[in-house]
Amino acid sequence: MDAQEAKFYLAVLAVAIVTGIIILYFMLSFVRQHRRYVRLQKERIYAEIVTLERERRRIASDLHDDIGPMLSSIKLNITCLDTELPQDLEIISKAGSYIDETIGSLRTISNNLMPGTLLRKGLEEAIREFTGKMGGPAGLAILIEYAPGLSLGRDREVNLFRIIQEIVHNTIKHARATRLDIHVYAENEQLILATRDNGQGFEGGMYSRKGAGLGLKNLESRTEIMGGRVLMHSVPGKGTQFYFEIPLE
Amino acid sequence: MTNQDITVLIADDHEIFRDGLSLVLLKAPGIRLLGEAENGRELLNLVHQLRPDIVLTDLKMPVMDGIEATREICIKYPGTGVIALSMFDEDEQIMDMLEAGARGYLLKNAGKREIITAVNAVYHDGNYYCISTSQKLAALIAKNRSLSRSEKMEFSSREKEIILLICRQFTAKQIAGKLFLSSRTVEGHRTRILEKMKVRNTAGVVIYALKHNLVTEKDLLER
Repeated sequence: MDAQEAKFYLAVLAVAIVTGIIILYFMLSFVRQHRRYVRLQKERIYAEIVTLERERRRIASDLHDDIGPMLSSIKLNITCLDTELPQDLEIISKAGSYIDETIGSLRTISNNLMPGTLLRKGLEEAIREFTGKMGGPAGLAILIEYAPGLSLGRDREVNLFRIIQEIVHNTIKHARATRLDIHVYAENEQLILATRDNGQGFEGGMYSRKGAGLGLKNLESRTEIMGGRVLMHSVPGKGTQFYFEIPLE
Repeated sequence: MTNQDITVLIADDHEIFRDGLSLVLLKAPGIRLLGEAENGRELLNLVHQLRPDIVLTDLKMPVMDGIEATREICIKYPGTGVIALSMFDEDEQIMDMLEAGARGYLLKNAGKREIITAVNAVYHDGNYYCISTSQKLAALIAKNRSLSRSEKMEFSSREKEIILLICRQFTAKQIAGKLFLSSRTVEGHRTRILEKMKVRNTAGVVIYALKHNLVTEKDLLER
């Protein structure tokens, strides 16, 4: 090998090293960029969910604490009208029952936005109340096993409640199940939420449909912001199972 | 207005609601509205000055809530009967009020007539439970030993049948259909049952029946 040739190889080597460094640099910065993006995405979802729940709570309590008494007051005022005319009496009684209906809707809306039971009596009572209302009319027997003495904190309770809500809705809407089991317990510093229905199951496709897909995404986001993970298992004809693992600091 | 008028104070933090309620009470014969308070602290001061027969008070109020105020009124002024006012779905707070010594409660969308009935019932040493008492709340009240004291009466087997159906929220007409009786006969039985139990409405019957084991909580759910 003469000096000329050695110089050439050296130059090639240098170019290769430089190119390698550049490629490596780009790759690293791409990975870093991606990680940052994922982190930001997570933070954004977290902020979104926190804001959403806060707003829901505020609207629910405004409806309950402010609009409710105002409607009641309108009813009291109307029923105080003095009249002996049967037509007028009928109008008064009708108006009264309309206001009662309005208050009834207000109660439903406020409760859907944020169940008072969840805030006052915690997750277990809230799930029992919710499933009690939903299961019967849909012909779905919902069995709940809730380990005593779990202390989860309000945010986690709200997230878990929304997850269970979503699963119950999905089961009623899509699964054609007659039974849904919900278990909540702690194991190795982890909170476990496990559900199983005896419905028709699906082959992965169901959740990719429009609308239903958003539901599953929601389950994932809520699990993610609690730092947990979710597994889903479904076999056509053999029902669907969900398994959530959430760290219990 | 006579000296026999039942004197009443009301407390609620919503002025509009107080206005509506005072309109009802001002127009009601035999009832004299003494004043209004917008929180529990104000209510206590007014009770101290005016010694009313009856207090109608909201649960949630700033400064001092209705539960704390009720507790104090019932200890210091046993001659004053407290009726709690609540929005829907506040079963647990209603229980807190009853445990604090309130002798009755009304939902805020109660009608004029029911409000007047409640004031009279509590004034005449009774209890009053709102017509729209949920079965869950009825069960809670019945379970609580210190509440709704009442002596046990004897009921005929026909009356027991009717009590069970009343507890399951059947109307007199539906009960008549089920038992092959005339509506009027059922109404007659119903009136006698209410009298024997010393209660004013279905909620009272449910609470009495649960308390004296005439029905069980499970009975209520079957239809």
